[in-house]
Amino acid sequence: MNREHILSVLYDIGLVIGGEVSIKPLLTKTLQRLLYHTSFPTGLVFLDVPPGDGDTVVATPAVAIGDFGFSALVGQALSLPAPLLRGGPEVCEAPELLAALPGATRHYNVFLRLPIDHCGVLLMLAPRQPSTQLPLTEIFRPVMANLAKAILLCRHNDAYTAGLVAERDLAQQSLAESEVRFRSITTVAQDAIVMIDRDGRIAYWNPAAEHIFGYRADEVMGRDAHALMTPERYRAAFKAGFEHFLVDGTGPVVGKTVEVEGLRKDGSEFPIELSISALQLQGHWNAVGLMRDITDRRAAELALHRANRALKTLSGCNGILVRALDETRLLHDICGLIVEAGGYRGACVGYADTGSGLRQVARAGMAHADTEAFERTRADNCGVADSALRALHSGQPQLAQGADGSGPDGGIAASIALPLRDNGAAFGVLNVYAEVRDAFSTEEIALLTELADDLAFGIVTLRTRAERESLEAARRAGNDRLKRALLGTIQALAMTVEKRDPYTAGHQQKVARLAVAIATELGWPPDQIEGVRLGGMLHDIGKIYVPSEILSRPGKLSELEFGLIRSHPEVGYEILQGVELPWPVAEIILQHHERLDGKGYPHGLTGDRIIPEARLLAIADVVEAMASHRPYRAALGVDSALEEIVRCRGSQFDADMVDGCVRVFRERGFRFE
Amino acid sequence: MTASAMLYLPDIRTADVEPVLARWRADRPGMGVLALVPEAERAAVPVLQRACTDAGVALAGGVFPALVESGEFVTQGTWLLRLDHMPYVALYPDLPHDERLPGVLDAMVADLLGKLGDGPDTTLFMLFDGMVPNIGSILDELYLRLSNRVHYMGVNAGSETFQPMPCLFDQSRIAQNGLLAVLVEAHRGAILEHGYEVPEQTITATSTEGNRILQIDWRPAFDVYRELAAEQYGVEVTRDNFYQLGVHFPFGIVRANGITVVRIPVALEEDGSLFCVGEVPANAMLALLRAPAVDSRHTLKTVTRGLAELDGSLDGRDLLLFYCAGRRLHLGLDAARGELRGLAELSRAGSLAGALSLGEIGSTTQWGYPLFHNATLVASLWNASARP
Repeated sequence: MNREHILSVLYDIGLVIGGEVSIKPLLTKTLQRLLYHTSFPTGLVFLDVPPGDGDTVVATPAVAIGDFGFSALVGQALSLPAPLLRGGPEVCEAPELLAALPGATRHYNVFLRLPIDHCGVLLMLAPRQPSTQLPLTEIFRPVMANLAKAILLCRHNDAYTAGLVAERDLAQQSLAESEVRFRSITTVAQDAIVMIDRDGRIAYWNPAAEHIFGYRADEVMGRDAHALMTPERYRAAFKAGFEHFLVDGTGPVVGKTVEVEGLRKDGSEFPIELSISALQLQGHWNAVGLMRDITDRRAAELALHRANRALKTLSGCNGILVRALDETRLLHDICGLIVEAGGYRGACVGYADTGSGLRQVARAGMAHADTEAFERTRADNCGVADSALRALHSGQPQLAQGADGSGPDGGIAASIALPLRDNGAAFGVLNVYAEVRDAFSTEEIALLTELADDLAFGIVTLRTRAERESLEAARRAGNDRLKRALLGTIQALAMTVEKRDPYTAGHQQKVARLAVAIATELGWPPDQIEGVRLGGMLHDIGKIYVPSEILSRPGKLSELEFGLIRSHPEVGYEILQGVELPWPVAEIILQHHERLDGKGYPHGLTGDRIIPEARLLAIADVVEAMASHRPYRAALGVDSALEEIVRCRGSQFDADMVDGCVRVFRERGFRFE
Repeated sequence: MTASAMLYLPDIRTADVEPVLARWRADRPGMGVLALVPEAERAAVPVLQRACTDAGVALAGGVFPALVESGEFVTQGTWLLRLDHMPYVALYPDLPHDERLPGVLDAMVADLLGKLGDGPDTTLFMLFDGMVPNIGSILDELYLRLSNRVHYMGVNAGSETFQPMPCLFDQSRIAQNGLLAVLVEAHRGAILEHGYEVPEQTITATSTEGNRILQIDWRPAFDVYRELAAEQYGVEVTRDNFYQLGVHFPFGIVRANGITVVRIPVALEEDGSLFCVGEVPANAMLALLRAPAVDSRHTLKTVTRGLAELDGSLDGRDLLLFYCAGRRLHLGLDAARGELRGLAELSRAGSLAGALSLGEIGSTTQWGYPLFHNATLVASLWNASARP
């Protein structure tokens, strides 16, 4: 064998050694090539053979080829004859030594030992030495040197790789745990979690999404998300938005929560609260959508809206009821309120008519024809009688459903007929109309029923008040007539008194005139002036019990006679105290002889205890009496009379009233005639 | 004398096959048949399959360029090789030659280990499709896994034109790009020898890839070949005559024990590289064997001596021989026939059956590392336990 042949063998083994980066394949393939080239059938590699000089050495085969008994011992520490593993390169026939090898399944006589510099030993075995012309122990020296270096490099690489693998395993474990957590969270999540890849296809679909949309995960994975989840009319817009999203992961709804319509597997649509997040994977934007079915929430919001609407209507109704003075106006205002504040399509009120029908008396928001069309359409569809009539006859609210949207029924899709009840009996119906089906929730119906009851109460109240006012007016008219008759009688009596005393004839009328003039001068209100006038007209009525000869007799009266005359205020008071008058006529009569200083009669009252009308009448009475003729003296004249009251101004008579009286005569030119 | 377990039928006809199967099966109900079929008769494989199915006889076999019969190479008929107790046979079609291979081999080895008997000698007899490009790697991996649990022996089947074709079959299938594995019990393997003498002066071939030689002496392989053909034979190399010329310039993978593993280039690729039957170690440095001398006498002696060492006297026994098609081309038909007859005489075998093969597997010694060769004779006893 020439030099070229040897070089080609070394070249081949060198290529194998240089081609491996991990210790196990390095040792395996190097040993395979050595067996190939040498025709030894069996080989083992021991690494890190411990030093020592004993008869045996404990070593661990890292690789074994060609004998399955040795293969089974790879990785196990074996106690081996030291001459096998220790020493330089050697071909040796040593059957006894080889018989001590544990695990051998064939009989070996020859071994070729090739030490691997400072790393271990390569041992090849054969039953008989294969023929060769080469000094095998020599030509493989450089190969073993290279193998030693390769072992070091591969060990470093294996350690490095093991570190990477450990890191990778750790990362994978962490990822797996994260995945488990993610799966757990998304599995138990109540909201649908869906990931859409850059092609718009579904890449993740959690159990909640299955529940909400009705598709199993295996039905939707990899399919077009928009086609599956979005109603047809929104798809073009969503796809356009998604195209923009793919550019930079942004969009008008990314990072926000919006409410959109979703599409179930069964084709039904439902409201969704959607939150979209952008997720970049391997340089591409993916969308992660968190979706919540808000059908129930929407219904609750609608019910709340309706309840608020009904409450608002009810509140406004109460305001109208408080201010209502007129039934027609009340009905008109309530219907208007239901439409304008309540937001209902229309409202009308009908009263029970003769012939068990209903007569519309007020409406708002729609033409009469529209409500009739709705009732007719609904009745045709349902085959039932007019809901309003049913409400009237049953006394219970009646709901009616039509079709959504406008049509022959004027855009009405639902109505409720609410009976107007008085003492349990319906006397009319309030109809409320809406544009959508199922417009009236249970709460709303309760509130509208309350509104109808309030309206009925208002109507009944208005009707009762009108009735009472009518009766009161009649009563007042009767009283007025009675009072006028009574006053006429009293005046007739007064005239009778005057007629019994010709010297005082016309006294009461004159006093009354002067008293009215003074009160007017003082600025008294007309009603009070009227009381003063009446008091003046009747102030001496008590003299009816004084014999006329006493009244008209000239000369000095006896004590008894004078006492009779002085009793006339009390007598007059008794005559009039039973007559109900709006003025204190009886008190005026009783006090018109009282004086501020308490020297008057019958009770000697002082100051403000004497009512103003009596104080004023006292002045007018004195002035007229002194100015006029009397049987027991001649007339003293007005001036004297005025001097007298001025003299007694502030003592017996009210100062302001005295001044007023003087002005009446001096400045207003009052005269008795 | 025990009747031969090998029978050549000149025609593959149901009427001829059925009586043989019936006769054999009468005494050996568990018997099976290994059939060798020449390429020209491959259409008759279904006849064999049907006949064996009808007879309840297990069948395995391969299609080869020609058969060896009575010291001649024949292209008609069939060899029916009886196995008194049909061993485990597994057909693995479409073997991968990428990273999937270790997984396939793991499964294959697990399969074979499960079927391995307790006897001391079992031969893993392998029939590969000659178009499988990584047979060397497969052998390395099998030896790594099975070690010395079995003896290794095998050949490549297929067409001498190297056109892909289904060439491996069992009782119901015929496959290609695969391996037919037979666990022959009580069998001590085969002896392989080529006798090619490696000249002192060689040309070094470099740059290989898989089973293709890209460069020789750092020059495009085809350029070197064209020069050699012109120099030695005065002919122009074409795709058509390449195989006939290539057999005279085989490559040698030089081993440290002085025995060269021969690789015969059999086709010229589109890119000017040379296609070999059998894997060439990656980037290997090869020797180019220019018209190697063949020591036929040494070859035949080595084979017969080896067989005798394995199985004792061959006198009157059945001998199975596979003869490399490339060797026949290199030596010439007459020399090849001479080797066939020489082996029959030297061995004194009772019967000698065989086929022309496209690559051989075995070792030059009983216990050697199994190798894939070209240009060799592979011989073994058939029905080895039977003695005259």
